[in-house]
Amino acid sequence: MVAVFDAGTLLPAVSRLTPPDGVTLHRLDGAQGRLAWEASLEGDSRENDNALASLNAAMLSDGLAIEVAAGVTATGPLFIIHGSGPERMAHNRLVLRLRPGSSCTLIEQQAGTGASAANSVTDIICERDSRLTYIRLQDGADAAFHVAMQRISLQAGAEASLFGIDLGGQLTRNDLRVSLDGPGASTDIHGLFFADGRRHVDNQTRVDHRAVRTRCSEHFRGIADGAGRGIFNGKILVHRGADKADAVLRNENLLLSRQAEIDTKPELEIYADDVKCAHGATTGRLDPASIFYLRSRGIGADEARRMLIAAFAREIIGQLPVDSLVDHVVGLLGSRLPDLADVGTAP
Amino acid sequence: MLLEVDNLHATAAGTPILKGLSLRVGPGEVHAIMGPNGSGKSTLAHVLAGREGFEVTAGTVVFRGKDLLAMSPEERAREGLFLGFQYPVEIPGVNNIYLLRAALNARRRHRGETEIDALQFMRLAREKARLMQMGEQFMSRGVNEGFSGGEKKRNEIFQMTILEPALAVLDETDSGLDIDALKVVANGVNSLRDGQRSFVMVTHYQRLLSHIEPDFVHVLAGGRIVRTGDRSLALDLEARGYDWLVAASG
Repeated sequence: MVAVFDAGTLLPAVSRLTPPDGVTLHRLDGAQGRLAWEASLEGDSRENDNALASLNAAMLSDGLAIEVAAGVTATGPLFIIHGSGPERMAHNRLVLRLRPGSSCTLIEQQAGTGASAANSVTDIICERDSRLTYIRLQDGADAAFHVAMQRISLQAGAEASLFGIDLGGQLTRNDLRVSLDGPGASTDIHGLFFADGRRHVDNQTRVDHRAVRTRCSEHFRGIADGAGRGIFNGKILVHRGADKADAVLRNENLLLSRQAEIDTKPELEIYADDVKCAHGATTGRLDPASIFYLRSRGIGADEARRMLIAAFAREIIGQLPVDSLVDHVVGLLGSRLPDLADVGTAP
Repeated sequence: MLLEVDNLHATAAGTPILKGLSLRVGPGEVHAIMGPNGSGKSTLAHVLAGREGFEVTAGTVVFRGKDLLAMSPEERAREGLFLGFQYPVEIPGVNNIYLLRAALNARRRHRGETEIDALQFMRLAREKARLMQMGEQFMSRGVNEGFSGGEKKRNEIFQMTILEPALAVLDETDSGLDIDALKVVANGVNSLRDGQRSFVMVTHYQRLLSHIEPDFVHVLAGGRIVRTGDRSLALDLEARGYDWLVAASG
């Protein structure tokens, strides 16, 4: 299934809206859009403490609510493309509900062209023992603005593997909120951002452990070049009573120029007694010994650097569950590193 | 001559290490460089490969008729120089095989040859991996990623057998190897001996030389070569140590 939106409006003519078996689609358009959205959430509370999310709700004119029926494994990924032309503002809205024991892969691609702006809100509810793979890929034009929020709740035994990859855009801001609501809920979060030129990429993540035996492993990598700026604020909050919680938060960054900037703040807030938590952040340059090693094998200095940058990114990209997507994203990153060809692709 | 080092002086962080080293390596020759710790053996290997952090203050190095010191590290490699590292770095995310194919093709382009395609390359890599007794899983991993010390050294020689350099400088390739791994490494080196290709082996121990027969053994002390002999010199050193030579050379 492929759903293509332009400036927040679904384009059925270029979409393939026939969902896989066991998956239903509901369009959130027209005057009833907001009511349909609330209905799709089934009263699952969504705090409106964020001005842009509120603006998104107020401006809501189209969107999709997707539901995967209990026990169903959706065949093929659900692919949503949010495009937007120059001088346009898009308010994208998506709701995904996985019924108990179901599983699916959702890919959201954000690709604004020219000086466009997108304000996206994605709500995902993973009911008991469901399995979600969610991939957000932002590869907008250099002048595009992207603001996005994902609110994901996991009930007992649900598992979510989440990816956030930001390669383009002038100004990018992501808020990822994951709530581990039921016992044994578990998430793996993988993030990658690349800020070169004068681009600004800001990732804010928050994971709430609200039940016993919940697990979170979060790993973000950032690359800043030119006068680019990358921000990572990752917060993991273990609430009272969420005993046996297991949380790991890692952020590693690569600075490629003197003007580039990375600001990182990994945070743990723990109110339970019996937990296992770790966090750490590092920021560094390319390793001169590695560059020399590659050059000593006949690899040119620039190519050696590009290989090492791509290798750094591959630690995240390589976790993508679809091989063709790994190659695609490596290619996208490569096209943003000048003169980079098929880096790191095995023969 | 393949390599002519003449009166080489080099410093590391301002400290003189090499103090007038001269060495001539002809085609097909195997030279062993031995010497006490701190004598400048590894510095020589790194200066030849072009590592940053060393400054050549005097002397010349001519490799295949060209000024080696004027070349970048990658140009030296493409001209046929190979450095086998004492401590090979781990580079996670750069595929071992990908690196090697890129390296081989950089060399082929440099020589005006056509690039090797993926299929031909894999055939070549499999053949050499068998020689080095390396499983396929080593080829598809990141460069040296998670390799043991011995596996790293075997990987260095594996790379060398694929790149087929004119001159290989092996910096303590034997250190940290058990006897079986040493045999595999020596086997890899010997497989490349063809009467044209030359080797400079920096080593502490005589035992490597019983597997790879050297034509010349040099003793490096105080930044210069103080004695040159044949294999029997290595046996003398094994029995008597370096002190008598260092003392005699003042």
